Amino acid sequence: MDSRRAPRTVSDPKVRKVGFFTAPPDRSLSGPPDHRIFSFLTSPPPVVDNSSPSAGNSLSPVMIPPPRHSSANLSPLRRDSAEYFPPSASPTSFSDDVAAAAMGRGAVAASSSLPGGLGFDIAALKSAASSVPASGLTTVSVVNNFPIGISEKGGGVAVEMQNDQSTRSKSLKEKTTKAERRALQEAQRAAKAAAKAEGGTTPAAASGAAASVTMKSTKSVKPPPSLKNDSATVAASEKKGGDRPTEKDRKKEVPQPRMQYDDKSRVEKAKRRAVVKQTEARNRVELFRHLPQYERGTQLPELESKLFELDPMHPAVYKVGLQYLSGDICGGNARCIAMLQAFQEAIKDYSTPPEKTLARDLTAKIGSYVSFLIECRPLSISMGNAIRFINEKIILADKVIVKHAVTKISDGDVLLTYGSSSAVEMVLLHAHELGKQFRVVVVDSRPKLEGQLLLRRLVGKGINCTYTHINAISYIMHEVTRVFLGASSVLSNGTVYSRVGTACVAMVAHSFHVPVLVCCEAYKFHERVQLDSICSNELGDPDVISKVRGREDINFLDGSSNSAILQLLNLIYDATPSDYVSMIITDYGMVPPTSVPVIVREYRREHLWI
Amino acid sequence: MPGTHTLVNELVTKLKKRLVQRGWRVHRETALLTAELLRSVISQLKVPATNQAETLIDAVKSVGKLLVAANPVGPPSRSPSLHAILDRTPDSERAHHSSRAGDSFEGKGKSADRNAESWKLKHDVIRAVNELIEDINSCHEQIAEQSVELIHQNESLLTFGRSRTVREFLCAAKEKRRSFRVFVAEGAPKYQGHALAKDLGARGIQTTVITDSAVFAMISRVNMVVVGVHAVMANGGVIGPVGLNMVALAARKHAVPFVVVAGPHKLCPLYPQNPHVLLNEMRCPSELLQDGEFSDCMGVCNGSGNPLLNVVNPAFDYVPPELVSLFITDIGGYNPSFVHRLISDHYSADDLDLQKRTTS
Repeated sequence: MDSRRAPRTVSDPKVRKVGFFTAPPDRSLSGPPDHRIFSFLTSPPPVVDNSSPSAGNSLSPVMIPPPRHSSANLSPLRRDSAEYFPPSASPTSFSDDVAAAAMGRGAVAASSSLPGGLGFDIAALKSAASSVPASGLTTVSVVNNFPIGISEKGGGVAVEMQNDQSTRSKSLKEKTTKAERRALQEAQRAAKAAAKAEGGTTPAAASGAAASVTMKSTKSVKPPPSLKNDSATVAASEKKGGDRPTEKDRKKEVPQPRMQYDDKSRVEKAKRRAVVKQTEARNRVELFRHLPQYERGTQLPELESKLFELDPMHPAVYKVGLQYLSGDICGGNARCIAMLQAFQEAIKDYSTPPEKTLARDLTAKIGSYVSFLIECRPLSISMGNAIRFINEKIILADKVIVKHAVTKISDGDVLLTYGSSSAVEMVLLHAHELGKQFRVVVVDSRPKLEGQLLLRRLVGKGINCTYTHINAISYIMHEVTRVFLGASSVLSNGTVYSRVGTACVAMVAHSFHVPVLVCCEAYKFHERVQLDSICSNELGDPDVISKVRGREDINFLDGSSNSAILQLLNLIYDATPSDYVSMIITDYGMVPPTSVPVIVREYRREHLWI
Repeated sequence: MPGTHTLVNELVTKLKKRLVQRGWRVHRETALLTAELLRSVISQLKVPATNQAETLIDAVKSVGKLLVAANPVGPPSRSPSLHAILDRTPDSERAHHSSRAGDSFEGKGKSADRNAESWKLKHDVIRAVNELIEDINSCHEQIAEQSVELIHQNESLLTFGRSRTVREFLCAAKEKRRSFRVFVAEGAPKYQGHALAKDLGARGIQTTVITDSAVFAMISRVNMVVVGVHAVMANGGVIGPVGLNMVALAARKHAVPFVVVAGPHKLCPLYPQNPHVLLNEMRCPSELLQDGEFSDCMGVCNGSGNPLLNVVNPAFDYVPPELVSLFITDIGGYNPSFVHRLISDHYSADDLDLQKRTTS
């Protein structure tokens, strides 16, 4: 089991208390799951947090069921599940679950030296998986990976991957077989612990199915924790090492979340605390006890009622979380895309609170979003990758850029910036924090007038600022020592593609022999080339040109915007030729514009393999 | 000259209050008003028997000093016209003086002749002023006639801000049935480009309004840049609306001809020394920042009591002569390096500095 877990580089499950686990804390900690909190930063009990999708729920420990236990259950379960799964090919998720579960089980079986059933499972899986459409594709790939994963330690990742799939699919599957599972679990329980068996003892098949389901779930829970670990790491912060889950898992192994069976009140308590209340599945397969398993369909009403209470949650992210829960979005790609889109909206609407710095606050916010989404549904690997991407490529990149750029600011400098670029703003604020004495000239232009926002923030921090409009740059450029610009993208021929007007600023700076530094994260580099601003651009709303905000006397063009002979053009972007740019500051360092294609080619590949 | 005092004060007040700023004819109107004022001054001047020319010159110079003092920082828009007029008249006066020098000695004895001579001098001077006024009035037509040589079929032009000369220039080409389209940069902070675009659209010229920041983006697709300016300096550089230097640099980068159309009243004999500061004017910062929104920032001061927020809003921009491709004047097209010849045609070297009282 350890070997199985070793390859996992997931963050500490402690941190991630998301998950379907409700029981584990009860069982292991013998206390109510008090970790149904939103953040994974609370280190919970040995319960595995990372697995479940829910953000704050106390994660039941992603435990590997005790070998004896699992193996004891395994054979009958496996057989049962094998029979159980093939027939149910209808729901996509189900097949996924099946596949995943089977695979998970197979992994466990392998480690528990039960290779016999493995092939069977895999076969079952494959047959089941083939019928699955989109999400099934992922499953198939997982299936393909599975055998490899089984055999080696390194396959742990694959196992986890599959398990993640299985978790996802499992959660969907749970919806369909909740009742059965419950019955099965009860039966299983009765059989196992001679504790109160609530339902009647269902036939072996049922119990087998239930067991297998639970096993599946536990199995899938285990891997997802690792995945969650990834995402949680990314989101929560890069603090948790990946190896801790292993110990945690081991520890969590013992306290199995059986709380729901033993003590309904505990479940209720746990549920009350969770942001996303998940009803723990009744029948948990022993093998999968470490995975969170919740009953589906119980969270939506509660979440919806809490829509307005969750202030820190951006509505777009909340919406996506709800969609996860209800199963509207399923499939790795769809979920990932939805999540990224929600993040994009959230980031767009995001504005740094006055007292905090952009990087830290944004990290925390995105972390909280991710935890919420995990609460709703475990993250897929793709989402984990995406989140890690966001963190590494954007937030960390910004930090590196700031670190480089402040070395270029010295006392007595007069820095000019155009519009409002987040990277440049961070650079200026950081340099100010370091105590450098400099002045800033903020150049602004119509129609967006973004410079005013930046101006307000800089003056609020106590930086000496001068504000002017773009026509006056020839006048002000005499006093300027450096120009800092942001970029929307840097193209392969060194052309900087950014807000319209940047080219004018760079050109005038060049003619006055003022160095121009562009701050741009490396993920914005693109292999496209562009010579001028006409080939590819974006057009904004032309009506904003006819009206000048705050100057009602300028109304010559009222009503003319729809005339054929008189047109209004509102360009959004323009292309600055590379000879105007002295240096580009990226997270790979400070490079000349000619190095951009090198970075695109050499370093982009590496990124894809992360 | 009580009557003339009133007139002079009137014009001085107008200049001080920038009342002559609105409308198309900023420069022309100033020039015309100044010319007409001088004409009335001269006509009402009682010229003594001797030193008539000098009296006239002194009177004109004093008026000129008053006018320039009314608008000292804006010589670009004012003094060229003033100078043109003032110096043209002294020129003609001197010519008369030299020619009359001999005659006056002869006519000393005849008072009647003297009166007639003085009257003739004044008449000549007034005639010269009238010619000047006529030149100013008709320069647009003469400049516009040259447009057909420069604008051909399917061309794209870029212009900046608003200038009546440019408008006439383009409309004349349109009347000759040349097909072209015009990009008008709006010209913050006055946004006069909007008015020009509207006028051009009304005349049937295909017009597109762009923001000033998009000039670099659009100029790659433009065949020619045509602008009107405030003043043409002695070295061939121009003083124009703020932002013109940016347009000129972009045009130079893309090898687009930068054509300046200017009437004779725009010529200024001064050489621009540090033009950004000396030949410039600062406008109200509220045109850029709405005070209400930024009131919290306005009062913020750093430790030593200096305000943290400064707003810079210059009115004029200087374009060096190497960025200008061509000057179109009423007497033809010229290189920037030729401008000094044009100026010497209009101006006399003695009259460059109104402040200096030449004790001649």
